[in-house]
Amino acid sequence: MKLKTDKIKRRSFFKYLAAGTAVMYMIGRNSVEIIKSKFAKSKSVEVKENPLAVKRNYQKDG
Amino acid sequence: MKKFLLDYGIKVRLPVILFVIITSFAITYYVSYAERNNIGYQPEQPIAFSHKLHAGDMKIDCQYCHVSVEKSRFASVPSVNVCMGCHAVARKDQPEIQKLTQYYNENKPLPWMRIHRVPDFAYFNHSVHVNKGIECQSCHGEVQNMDTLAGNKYKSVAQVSSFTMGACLDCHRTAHDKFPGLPNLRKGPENCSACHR
Amino acid sequence: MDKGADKEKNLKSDGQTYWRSFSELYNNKAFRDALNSEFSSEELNGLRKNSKSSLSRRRFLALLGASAAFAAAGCSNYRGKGQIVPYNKKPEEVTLGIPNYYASTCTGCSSSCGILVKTREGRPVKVDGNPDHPVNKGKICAKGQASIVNLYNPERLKEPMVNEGGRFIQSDWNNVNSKIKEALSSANSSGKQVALISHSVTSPTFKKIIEDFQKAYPVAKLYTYEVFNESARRSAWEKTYGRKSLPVLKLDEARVILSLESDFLGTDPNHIENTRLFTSGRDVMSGKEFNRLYVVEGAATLTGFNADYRIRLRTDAIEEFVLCLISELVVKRKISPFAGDSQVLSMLSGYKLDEFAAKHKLDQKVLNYLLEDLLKNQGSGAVIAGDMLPESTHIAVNFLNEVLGNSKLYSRESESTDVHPLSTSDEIETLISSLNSGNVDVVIHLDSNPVYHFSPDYSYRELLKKVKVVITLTEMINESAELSNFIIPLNDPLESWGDYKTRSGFYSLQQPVIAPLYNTRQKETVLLEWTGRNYSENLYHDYLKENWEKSVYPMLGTTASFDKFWFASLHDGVAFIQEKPEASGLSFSKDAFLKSVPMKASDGYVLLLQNNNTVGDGRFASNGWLQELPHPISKVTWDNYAAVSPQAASELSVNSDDLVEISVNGRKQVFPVFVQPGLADKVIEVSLGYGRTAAGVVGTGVGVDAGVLVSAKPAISDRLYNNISVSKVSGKYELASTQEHYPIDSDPLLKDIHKRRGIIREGTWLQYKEDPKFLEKERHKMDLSPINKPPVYAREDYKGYKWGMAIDMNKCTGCGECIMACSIENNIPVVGKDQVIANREMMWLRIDRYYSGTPEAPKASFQPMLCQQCDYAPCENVCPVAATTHSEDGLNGMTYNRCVGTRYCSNNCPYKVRRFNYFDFRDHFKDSYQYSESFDLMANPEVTIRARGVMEKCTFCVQRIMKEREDAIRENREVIGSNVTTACQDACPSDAIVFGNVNDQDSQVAKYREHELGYTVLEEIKVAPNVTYIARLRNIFEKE
Repeated sequence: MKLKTDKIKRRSFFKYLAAGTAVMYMIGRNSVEIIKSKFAKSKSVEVKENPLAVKRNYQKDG
Repeated sequence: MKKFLLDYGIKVRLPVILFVIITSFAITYYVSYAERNNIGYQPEQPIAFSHKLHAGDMKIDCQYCHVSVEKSRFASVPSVNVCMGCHAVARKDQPEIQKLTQYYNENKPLPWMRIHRVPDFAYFNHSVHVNKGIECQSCHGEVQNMDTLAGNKYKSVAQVSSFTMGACLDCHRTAHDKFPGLPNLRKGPENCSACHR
Repeated sequence: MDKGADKEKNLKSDGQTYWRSFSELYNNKAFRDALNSEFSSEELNGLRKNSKSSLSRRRFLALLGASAAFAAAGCSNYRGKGQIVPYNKKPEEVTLGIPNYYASTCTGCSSSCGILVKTREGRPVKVDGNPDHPVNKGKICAKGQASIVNLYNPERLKEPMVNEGGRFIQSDWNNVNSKIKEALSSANSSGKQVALISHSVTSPTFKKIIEDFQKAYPVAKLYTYEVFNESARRSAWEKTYGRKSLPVLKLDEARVILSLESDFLGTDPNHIENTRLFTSGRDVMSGKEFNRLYVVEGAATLTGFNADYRIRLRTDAIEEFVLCLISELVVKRKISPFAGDSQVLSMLSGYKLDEFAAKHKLDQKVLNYLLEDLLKNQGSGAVIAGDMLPESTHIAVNFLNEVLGNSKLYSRESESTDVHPLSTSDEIETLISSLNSGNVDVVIHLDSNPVYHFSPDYSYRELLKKVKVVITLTEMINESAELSNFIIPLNDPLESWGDYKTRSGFYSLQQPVIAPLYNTRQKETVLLEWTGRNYSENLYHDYLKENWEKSVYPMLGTTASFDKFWFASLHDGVAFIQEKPEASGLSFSKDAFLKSVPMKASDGYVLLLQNNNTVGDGRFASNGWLQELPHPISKVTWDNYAAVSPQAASELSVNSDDLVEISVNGRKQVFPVFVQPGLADKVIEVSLGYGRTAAGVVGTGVGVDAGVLVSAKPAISDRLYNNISVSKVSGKYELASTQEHYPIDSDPLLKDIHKRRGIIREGTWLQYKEDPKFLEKERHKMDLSPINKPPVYAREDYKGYKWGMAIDMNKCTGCGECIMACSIENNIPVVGKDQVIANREMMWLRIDRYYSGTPEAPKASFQPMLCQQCDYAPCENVCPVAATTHSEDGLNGMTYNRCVGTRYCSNNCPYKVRRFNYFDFRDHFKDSYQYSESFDLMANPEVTIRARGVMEKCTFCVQRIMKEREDAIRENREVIGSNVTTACQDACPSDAIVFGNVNDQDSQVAKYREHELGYTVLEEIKVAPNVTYIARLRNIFEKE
């Protein structure tokens, strides 16, 4: 038996290159997002009012 | 030879290409229909709250819980203490109520899954619509009939109308036809800065 | 074929044949076949050739990878809309989407103006003035507007820190407090001093805490200082009238105002009230004659450029000028009983006004006008002297006011009080000598920064090394904190309680609008803990309430309960009490005048160390919005500079962006140069408060520290030096100015272009009185009349309400408060110095400053420029994606999500008011770091935050218009135009900006639009802008 390896022709090299870049970009972007969201810190600042402060009642412009 | 190629091209290649293009467009259109206007989105909620029971059978007014819909831009989701107003006593034994009480006692935020969402760059204003007499059901559907599906316990409210800008403008332009019961209703604003500040 | 060669090889090696088997030797077919195939057929029995798939390994892996990639790419919950999380226990008063307002007090400077803080969902988003506060009456300065940024500054100190071996380690309160209490009691027992250093104390309750502290630690002494203070004026007042409290000037009743180097409309801490009172006398709508402002100054200040007559005079000659004036009035014209007083006459001998005017090349005509005016308006004139002038000048000015009878303008109802007088320079000297002799064990910096602020003559930095324990209480890291043993993080003023007393008749209250974001405490609480009290969350609140019950409440003489009074005071922010000024009469004593030694002018350069409207004395250096607010005259951002007059620039052969070295009393400092038209010859102005070395990422290294030139024992005053030397040094330093450096063009085509094109239209009061329609006539002369040409757009008439704005240039002083209010309201990003140089600053509203006349003595015209919301907007029809459209109520709207960033609209805009987001200025951009968690809290939730690549511009505060529309629909009424106030309108201290429905004939804006002095900018291009400017009338004696 003769085993021949396929030669990559020049034309399809660029197709593979393009497809490969696109694939790597899509994988990379999503995985970075997922990893970032896993490590994202939860809010460390708590917003709370002081109950002893007195508000004004009227509603001015928003 | 040329004739043969052309013949082959017209008879075989062209129809195949056209078929592929048309089918892919059609499939994409229909598959993404839901994504584009979000009709039918019915996520799983942390607590199996039934609007059919509360708003339908017991006829509790929408604004009893969603308090700020008449006063401000947002129709707020009720805070846990509003639920506890009744459920400190009512049906305390049910597992879902116990989940709710646990959230309340531990002071943990109740993460409801959001269903209706207009993008942040469109500043939708609830109070303007409610104060003109428009019912909640006109956009949110028959919420008082939305129940947790048997077998699929955790989903309840679904989005029934399209929330694309086209749908909003459609109603704004034909307000008279859409709401015959509100004779004084003017056409909604069509200029961009009404919503996109 | 090979085997032949092999055999040959075998043979060739050494002539002998090597073989491993007989098959090889005999080279039969079986051997040849076996040689060629790697696997013998027996091995391959299991594998059938036909069963091999046509998919090669390579292809299979490729397919595997591709499908995995596509799966990953598509794998996100694209339909998910996140969560919607309600409150767990919602407070009753909070309604989502509706803001709450709290009254409080601003602590940006010692003026303690009342503020109204707007909060959304519990977070403060905007600071405005408190309309109930009698001093600022609903307006607040740019520093107050930007104080919201200080609360959310990511570099705020969050935990107490301890200095261990040069590095600061986080600690906890108990540890820090116990160590400090130990140090304090050991200092107490050993008799060593505990020095408390603070800025001016305007809080009566804080003063009481200091007294309690001193009772607990008798060795404690309080030293107070303020870089920009009125101590010269106060001591002069005390010497002249025998009273400690300064009077309040009724500027609105003054017909003639003479300002001597006093920037009372610009950088004076009280400029909000001053502007309101001054511009109330310049109202075109009232028909009353305007007041007249004369300014005699060496610097180029906002007040100077707002003057009707401006006299340039070097600052150290101003006292001589006053004495010449007095001599002219008393000796020559004999208008006062002092004319017969021999002591006074001998004091004034040698001062002759005409000689003085000749020597200093002053315009004699203007001086005559001044004298005429002062004489005609005796009793309703005001002579004001600047803070940096020495005491002798203030005494002379008091004498002049007394001679003219102007003491009638001093208010009898209210005067400014001094809760705790500032330490005199002698007292600071004793502190320094105690530090030197090692008698001070503990130094506590109570929210102050003496390492940066004190004069280098004191060598304070070195002296601190001799102190055992240095404690700094501060909100942000600063130079003093860097040298401390303990750093105590403080609450922001928006998180604090407090009370303030600046004038007689009322107290001002401060309350927290948000619970402390971090593990910080109030300085009063910390002091109370150190006197032995136990910490509780409301420790200072209870103390404050107690103090009020004991000392303030009885002064009311009311029957209402204390709790009701307390609640009402917190609600209003101000508590009015019965308090008459000390004595109703003023007893003038001429002794002070006779004894004072006048300031002598020199021939060399004069250095003025100025206040500024942005960072103040340096405490706001870490506030990016304030750093980017352009200087009102030079429009320089992010730096300070040495302003030199054109004449001095040619003398020193420097130009803008060159460097000069200024040396005062042996101390030197290098500054970048800015050639400032209008400065008196040989006067150099430098702003203090820059050049900080420890102010976080934003403030460090911005500008040059002019404080190194301050002397501890100045010859004249600590901000005025006349024995300096200036020389050019090599090098260049680019200053970021939002307008050109040298805007007076010598090119005749461009000279006074703003006047010829009708951008700035001005007249004089006399001209207006004679012919109210003079502007209309000028219009025809300039050929601005509309030609009958159909516009590009076919627009319907505006039925219903239409929004328009009018800006009264008589009232606009060019202060810039509107810019800061707009920036905070509309989430405008800070871009940093590099981008300002590239003209990419993002402020939607700018104040253009045009010079006219000569570079030495120019006139300046200020014009706020914002999107004119043109009816026939040239930007709308060039947008390829229709991102900017016109609404039925006259607004030119901007839809950010549709904009693709073509920038054609900005290209077409004749007013150049459109700003483009060249970068995402919030994402860790150099010079700003806005993409941090705490800044998200600061944003106004009603305004979109723009991303990179979109165009933005003034929207006439469309979010406020929409809120009014919402209110109108809810209340089932029509939209009322006067209910909508834009942010800039809210902030303007003189109410120069008027906004509303122009279709409503009764509205103020409609009256301004129809006013005969109203014009629009660049009328001839017929875009029909909706911003009307009222022409400025200078109140001069000539008609032109």
